[in-house]
Amino acid sequence: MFELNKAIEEWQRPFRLSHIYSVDTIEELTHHLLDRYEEFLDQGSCDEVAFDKAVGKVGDEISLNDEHRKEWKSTPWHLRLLAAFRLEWQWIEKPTLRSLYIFGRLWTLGLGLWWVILIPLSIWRLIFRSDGWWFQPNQWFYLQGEPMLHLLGIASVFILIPFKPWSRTPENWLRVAFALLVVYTVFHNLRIAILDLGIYGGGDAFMWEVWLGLAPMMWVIQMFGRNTTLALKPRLDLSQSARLLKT
Amino acid sequence: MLSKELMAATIKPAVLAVLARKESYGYEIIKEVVELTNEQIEWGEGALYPLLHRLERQKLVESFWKIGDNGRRRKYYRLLPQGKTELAKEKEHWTLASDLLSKLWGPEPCLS
Repeated sequence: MFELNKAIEEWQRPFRLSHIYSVDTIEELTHHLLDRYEEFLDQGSCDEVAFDKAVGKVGDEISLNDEHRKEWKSTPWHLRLLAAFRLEWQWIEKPTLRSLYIFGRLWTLGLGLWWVILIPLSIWRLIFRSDGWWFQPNQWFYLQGEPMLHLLGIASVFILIPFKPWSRTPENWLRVAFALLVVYTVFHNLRIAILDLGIYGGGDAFMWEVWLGLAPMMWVIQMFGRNTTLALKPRLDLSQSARLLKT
Repeated sequence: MLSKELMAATIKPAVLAVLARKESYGYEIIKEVVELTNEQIEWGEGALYPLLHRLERQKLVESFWKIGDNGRRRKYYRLLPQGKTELAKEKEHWTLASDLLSKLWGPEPCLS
């Protein structure tokens, strides 16, 4: 038995997981789909066929993607970033998770920016043998890869790859690589944190490492937040449409 | 049937012209164009909505949600003063192009 709401939910799913469609756009496209659906019903198609024809006419995420993506790419990057935050804020309905998710995003963004400033400064100080207050040459180990891992945190903010089911595409392998780096970073930071306890014997060092270790964890939270959009229901209220309720 | 290139070139002035007549929503705009051209031109939704959103970003049109005749919410678009200016410019360009082609393709002048 054909269920319109379920069919709409299935059709909407890839749109909801893509960062280039706002809630407004998806609702707009859905109403357009329903207009087409009604049109085919009026022409005598049964509801399931009418819906399939409507999808064929309006298009699915793949067929609509090109033009929308062009439009998305023509938007300045900072507006895209803001839009991505706004989208995520709209889609994650659970307030606690939403706050955590946005916090995670800001955390990685802030930490990434911190390293973007810190790395050139540290290198500059090392080159000129300055006894600056920042890093001493014997603290060179701070530059041994860890900052690069945190830069991946900021990269995850900018990449904004929509989450789709697993396939052997380069995008998905990239996600696996990120996931492995996250696991590595967490263990790496924990190891250093434990070592630091022995070397310095101070809580400060431990806190510093925990702070660094939080970045990839926040990244995991981001991905987790994105996945929850899979479970969301379409926000379309069909109750007012008498014509559709009859079907 | 128009070529893909010509279809892409005409969509912006045509959408602005439809909205200059009255405020409208995506499905209605497509239907109106289909009707006006005796089903010769039908834009894909994939081309129309990104254009509408771009026009909105350029402040040529504005959008608002309204309950339609069948009780469903629809996103309507309305032409803004800047959009009217843009439409006038488009009209000028297309009239120029149309005049040129009409003259070139019109009957040969009789020289005898």
